[in-house]
Amino acid sequence: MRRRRITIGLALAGIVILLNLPLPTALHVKANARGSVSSFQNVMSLVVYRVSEAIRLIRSVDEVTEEKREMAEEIISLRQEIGRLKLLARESRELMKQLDYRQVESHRMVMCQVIARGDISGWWQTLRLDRGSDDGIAPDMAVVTVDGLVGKTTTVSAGTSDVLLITDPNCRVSCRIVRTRAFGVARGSGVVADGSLPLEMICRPTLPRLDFVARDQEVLEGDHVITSGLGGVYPAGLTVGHVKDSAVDKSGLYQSAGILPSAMMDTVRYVFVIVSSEL
Amino acid sequence: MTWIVMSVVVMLSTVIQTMLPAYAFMGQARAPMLLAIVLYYSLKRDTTTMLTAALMAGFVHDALSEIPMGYSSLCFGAVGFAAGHFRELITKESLLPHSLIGAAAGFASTVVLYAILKGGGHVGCRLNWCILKAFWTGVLGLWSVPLVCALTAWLDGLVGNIAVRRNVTGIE
Repeated sequence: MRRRRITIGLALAGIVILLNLPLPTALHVKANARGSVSSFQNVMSLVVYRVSEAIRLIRSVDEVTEEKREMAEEIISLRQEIGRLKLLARESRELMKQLDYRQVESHRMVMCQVIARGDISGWWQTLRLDRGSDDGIAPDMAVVTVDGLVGKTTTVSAGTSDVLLITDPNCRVSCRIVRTRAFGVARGSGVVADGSLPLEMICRPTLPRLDFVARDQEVLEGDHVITSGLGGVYPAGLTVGHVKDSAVDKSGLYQSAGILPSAMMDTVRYVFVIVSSEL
Repeated sequence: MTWIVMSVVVMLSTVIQTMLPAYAFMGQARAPMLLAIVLYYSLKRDTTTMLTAALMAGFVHDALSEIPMGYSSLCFGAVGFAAGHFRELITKESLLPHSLIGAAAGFASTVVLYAILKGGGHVGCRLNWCILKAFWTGVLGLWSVPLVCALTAWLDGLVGNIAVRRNVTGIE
């Protein structure tokens, strides 16, 4: 009986110690734990990808042939476009030199592969990437795809990093509407499940919201939303998405708009972490 | 041998829980594989072993997520204690009681964890999202808890814990 009490006491003491673990130690423990499971996730991610690709290939040989032809056409078109853009870049450089413009550095980015989606608890909308601090990635770095902003890095270990998606309610991004230059704060809104919706709509995912847009600013459907550069995490000018709808908030103090994110966060396989930029 | 079995099951459950996909329409709910281990030890073994399992499973759960350390251990421990009150109801190896307790525990643990996380300002999601997630965690608990219980019981049998496996009264 005494031994049992001691063991229960020790277990409870363990829980108390965990609850009061200093933040740097907790982050270190988390990073190590993630590092140890990342190899499993890497292998599983590869297996799942290969299997799904094989199934897709078997199912749609015709589609693949057509896709290949379209891609070949696209490559030719893009090569022409690259040639044209190279000429324009050269011309632009010359003009900038003449006008004594400061050379604008492009972002330094690290390409990463997505090895897991969502954290083990399911409370946060995250991605896990196969690169970490060994590649220069640190917490609070912007993560993008060629289409637009995906989120920001949170916990980083030597070989992995977690990304909090812009669709998560905990993620807030300072944004600007390109057309009007109006500012707002974008945040994910998860899922709507309130009584006002019919039962079949109970699980309808809602769009991230752009809140705190001044009432006197015009917000139209299709307006291009980019990062403002305020806040220090996201460099200015990254595409976030397009306005889907807008309305004055219930409080009547500001406008709120639904944003359709440009990046396909549910299917993305490769992303770029911006490791250095001029905000 | 109990520790070895527990460690192996925690490792396997972690990998499975991490790998299984989560969907938005289910509130990003995941199969409560780690909680299932705590339930197994709560229903089949003494409080000490259950608390150790809660500590171990909670530690891994928190380490691999954004949850602050210790929250899941606390939550799993509380749910394990509550589930322990139903151990007398399980008189034979059957899927149904495990499934029902798994569903109830999955729902309860999600709500308790949400309350702790929301109280600490760690999550921004609304209560309706939590209820949706809790409902689906309960549904996933219907199959995952009996599965983990069966696997752990099989491993216990394999290493010679059969006498302990058949003990449902807590007397060893």
